[in-house]
Amino acid sequence: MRKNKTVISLTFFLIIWELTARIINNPLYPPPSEVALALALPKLYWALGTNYLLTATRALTGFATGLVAGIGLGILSSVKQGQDYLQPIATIFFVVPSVAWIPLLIVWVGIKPFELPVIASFLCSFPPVLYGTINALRTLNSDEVEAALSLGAKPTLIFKKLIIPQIVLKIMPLIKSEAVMAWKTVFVTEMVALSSGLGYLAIIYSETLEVSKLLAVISVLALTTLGIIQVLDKLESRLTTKWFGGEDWLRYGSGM
Amino acid sequence: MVEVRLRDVSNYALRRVTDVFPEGKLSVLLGPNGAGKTTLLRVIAGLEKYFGHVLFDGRQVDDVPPYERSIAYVPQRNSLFKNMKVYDNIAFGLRARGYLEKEVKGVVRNLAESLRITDILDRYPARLSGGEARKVALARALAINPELIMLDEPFTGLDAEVSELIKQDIMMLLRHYRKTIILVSHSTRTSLVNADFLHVLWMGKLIYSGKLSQLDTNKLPECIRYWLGTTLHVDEIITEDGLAKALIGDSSIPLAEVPKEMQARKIIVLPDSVKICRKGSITGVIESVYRSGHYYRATINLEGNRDLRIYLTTPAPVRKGETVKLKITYGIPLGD
Repeated sequence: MRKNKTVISLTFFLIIWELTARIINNPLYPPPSEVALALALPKLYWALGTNYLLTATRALTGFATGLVAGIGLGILSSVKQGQDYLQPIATIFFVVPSVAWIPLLIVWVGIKPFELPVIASFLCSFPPVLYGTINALRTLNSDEVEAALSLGAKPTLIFKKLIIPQIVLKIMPLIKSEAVMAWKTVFVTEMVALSSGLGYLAIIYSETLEVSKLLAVISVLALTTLGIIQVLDKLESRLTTKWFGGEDWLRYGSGM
Repeated sequence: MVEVRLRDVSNYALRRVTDVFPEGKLSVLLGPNGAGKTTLLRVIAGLEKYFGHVLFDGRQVDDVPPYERSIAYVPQRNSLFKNMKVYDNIAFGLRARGYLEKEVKGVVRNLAESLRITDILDRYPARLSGGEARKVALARALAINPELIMLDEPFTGLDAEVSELIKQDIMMLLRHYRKTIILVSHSTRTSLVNADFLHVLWMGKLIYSGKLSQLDTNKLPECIRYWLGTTLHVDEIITEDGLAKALIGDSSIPLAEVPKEMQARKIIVLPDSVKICRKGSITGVIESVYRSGHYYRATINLEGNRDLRIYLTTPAPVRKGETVKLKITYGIPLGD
């Protein structure tokens, strides 16, 4: 049912776009059919493919390292109240838009095609994940942990069986949004500083007024982020079912 | 079974508590909200910092981590693991101790049958009722065969009818296991009916510790008597049609349960079980009345130099020196 609504919504959007583009009839506002045709051009197809791989590698590397570092440091910080010291710093980095670091990174790192976007996307995902992990740990149900301790469970077991599932599911919405943000950050970095990747392609097509191709690049980016959300939604659903019996997670805060 | 001793235990909520919880007995820790009952349990469980010493069978355990204390602690909110089914919740402690899955299965099945929860073993905690959750929490605690079981307000938050059934199940099982049990309650009636030993905490201080049968509230400070009730020496305790009654002169007071010792001559009357009414069969004289918040406190002298401390929940309809008729809805026998 939800799938049908998505299809209806997208179809409606494409029809409106197609109709308005046909009526306006301006090369700067091409219809979606023209964008689709541009996507099928072998030359664009090849350019998109190679640059897509570059952008994907950069975004995934930055995001993955940010995710692992954020969760890891967040957990480590729970020892000896370390989070009290880390949280203010994480908050500062969290509230600064990730793209704001790009000019500084250009100065510090230089225009290096791999390091620059990877560090930018790392800076995009690391602080929010760290912040989210610290908060998830703070709001962890300490009663459960104490009950487990008194039942004879050692801290490592409690960590594996109780803490990790709770943290992961609590920060899952954040992980989803940061995965998308990592792509956006790499895209912007490529636009302003690099000579490869989807962002760079977008700038080239903008300068040459090849709007169909530009829209094709944007469509690829949009479809990718949509795909990421879908995959992470499925992962979240699976973990929720595995760890909390599906929809029971929704009643998690019942305090039972 | 283990004997638990506290020596000069102090922290933010407790003030130099020295006490003994005898082995194999059901000790009830009683006190109003904020008295320090839960903190005391957490100190024994090793979950709270404190000054002083905690000893199990004479062995100091201050430096022993909670997971090595062999205690089953059931906190007030059950704390069932929400990411595990009921079966896995009960099995958790056994698995943590390295039991084989075959043994785990046997223990879980036995406990589930005893507590009549076999049909909910596949459910997640979010799908349980309050009563079922209490039973699961208890089963989980008992599964590890602990030396000491500590239950924090196990009957709170259950509706009266369900609560009574669950209480019976829980108390029966606890008696069957013959463990040292510490049960925290702010419900005076529940505590007094079930306890072997009573420990009364008041603002972090231990006010009374000893056998329930030796409790004499008349020796306690007046503020505590208003809350805990009044010990009355009665003429006789009899049973009629399975119901116990205490006789005072020509009047009788129904008892909450049949006492273990019919020779006992002592009952406790809780402040909320005394009503002033024209048809009351017990006569008393108001010795003093004064206001306490929305309530009135009254001390009433009964015939035979017995006096009652009670709360009146309506504006005082009586004056000092006035003779009143009383109805006592129930009393609790202080048997051996």
